[in-house]
Amino acid sequence: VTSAFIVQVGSQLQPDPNEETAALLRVLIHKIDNTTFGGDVPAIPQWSGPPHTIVRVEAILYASLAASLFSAFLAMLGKQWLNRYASIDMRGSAIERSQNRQRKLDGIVTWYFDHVMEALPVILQFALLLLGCALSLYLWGIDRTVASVVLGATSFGVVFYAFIVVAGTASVSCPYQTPGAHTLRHIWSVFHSASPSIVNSSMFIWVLYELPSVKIFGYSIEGIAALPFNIPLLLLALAVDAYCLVRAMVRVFVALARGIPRRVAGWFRGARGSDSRTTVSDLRCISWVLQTSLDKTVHLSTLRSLTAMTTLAGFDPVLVSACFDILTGCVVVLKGKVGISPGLENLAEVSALCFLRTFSHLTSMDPTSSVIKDARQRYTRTFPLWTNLVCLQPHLGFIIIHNIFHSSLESRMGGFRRDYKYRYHWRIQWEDYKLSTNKQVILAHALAGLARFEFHKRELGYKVPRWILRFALHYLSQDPLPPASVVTDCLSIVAVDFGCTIPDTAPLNERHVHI
Amino acid sequence: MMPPSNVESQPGSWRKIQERKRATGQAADEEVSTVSHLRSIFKPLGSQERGLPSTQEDYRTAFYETYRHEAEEYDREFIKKYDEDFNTTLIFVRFPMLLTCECADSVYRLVCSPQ
Repeated sequence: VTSAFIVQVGSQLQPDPNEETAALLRVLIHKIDNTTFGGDVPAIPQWSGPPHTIVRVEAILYASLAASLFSAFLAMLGKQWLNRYASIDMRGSAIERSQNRQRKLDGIVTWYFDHVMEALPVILQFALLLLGCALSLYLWGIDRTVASVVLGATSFGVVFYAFIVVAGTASVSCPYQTPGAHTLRHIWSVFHSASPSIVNSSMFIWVLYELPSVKIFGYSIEGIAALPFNIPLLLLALAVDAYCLVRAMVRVFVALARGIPRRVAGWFRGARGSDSRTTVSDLRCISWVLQTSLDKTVHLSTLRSLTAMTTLAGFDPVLVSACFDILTGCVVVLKGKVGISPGLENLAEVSALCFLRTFSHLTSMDPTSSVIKDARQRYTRTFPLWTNLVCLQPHLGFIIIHNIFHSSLESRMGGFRRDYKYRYHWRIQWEDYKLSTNKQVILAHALAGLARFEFHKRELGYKVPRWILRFALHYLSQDPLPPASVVTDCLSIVAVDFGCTIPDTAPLNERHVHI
Repeated sequence: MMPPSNVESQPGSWRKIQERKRATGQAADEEVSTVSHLRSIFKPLGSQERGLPSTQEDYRTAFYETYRHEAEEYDREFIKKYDEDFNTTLIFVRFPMLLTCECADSVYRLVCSPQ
């Protein structure tokens, strides 16, 4: 940016030959006629280095030049990276190419490509600010009128930028969004989630509001006379607040720092074994499509491929949220009754099945996952206990999900009683539903996983919910018996109810082979 | 055809017999009959899941067809967005350079005017 300007200012870093020539001429003239300069004796000036202001201006200008050149360099590299991303750099089938493309896209997310590229304009803006500062500083020593114009423009730019950053942070709907506002909002949300009560539990605010009502020895401590008493109290409260704030910030940073090694290890981690690699690639592709596309037909096709998968090893928990979102997107409320939107019955059924499968898998892998907590909160908020589900009776998947999310509530309200005083737990008549073999396999596997999860909470007085046990008993009493996989799962549900410890069973495909 | 009971004590013997038979071309028929015999034993168990792999493969192929369409559309938008951003950056870097030349010229005149 500032190369030409640097050349101009840079010439002042060296002794000026013109000035030296003029001094020599003055000395020469004085030798010829010593009356020309009056009593002054001209001397040859000694070079004592460049002025400090010029050195400072030059340093700022070089920083500005470096920043702008770096951003140009990054933009050029970015173009190359984009070309590499767009190119098909491998041979193979369409599926392999798609998986390769997904790997590259995942890399873009894992290595923060977006953040790096968003830093480009920020670097340029910083270079511009440096240029403004350098110009103002340089011109201030030459001509203050010109300098004040440049200084005014630079100051206005800084104030305006600070304003749009604050506005963008305060309001999401503000159109003047900047990367700075985005970062600030993110930091604020992390900080707020780490210590949500810090603002509410401010000692300073409490003292400020409660002080007039506090009485010492029967005297109210308000008014100017009580100021010497109030100030130490307020200062103490402020110190307590500062301590709490610093402690919360340290906790946030420690949590972030602890996560760094795991994150860095994730950059270089690769799945082992060709089978698991294929499954992981498939699951990543599925996860991406579900999160990206809004087309219901695409969702249906994707979810069907998810139901047909034999294992979910190495799956992304985001998949649970994606299935949940699609399921809730199919639900509509008509005249106070919850129903499925016309034409979306298939999608609702498949998404409920996928949600059950992924949810059960996640509960067995990571029972404390935030995704489970989030899904439970969202469900119980959208469909509370008193939701009328009469219209959803034919949709088994939804009824099962409702029972799963409200079962823990019901057990807290008095256990699984036969009289069902709290009639929020829907009684499922399993014999009314004719399920295909594939659905039976998936459902049994999911319910067995959930039963095992309930087992972990046995110390708290939880048991396997009765409706899950009835499912097991129903399918075990069928003649002919359902697929071997379903029988295994039903038996494991019964065993868990008896208090046996059941290890996690093998994935579906292995059990198909071994049983 | 099952291996003899003392196969554990003499691990090499069963393999040697098989290799000898394979060399003489006798083993092929016996292997086919063994596989068909095993299939007949496990048929009742496997019959219910027989359709699964083909269905899975069909769904997978259909999904990747959908994926390809979605990916093409997404990538087009993605590349276009970043390409425009990079072009803007490069133009922005070039423009102030010209501006600065002009600026430097005028400053130079301002500084040099007393001389």
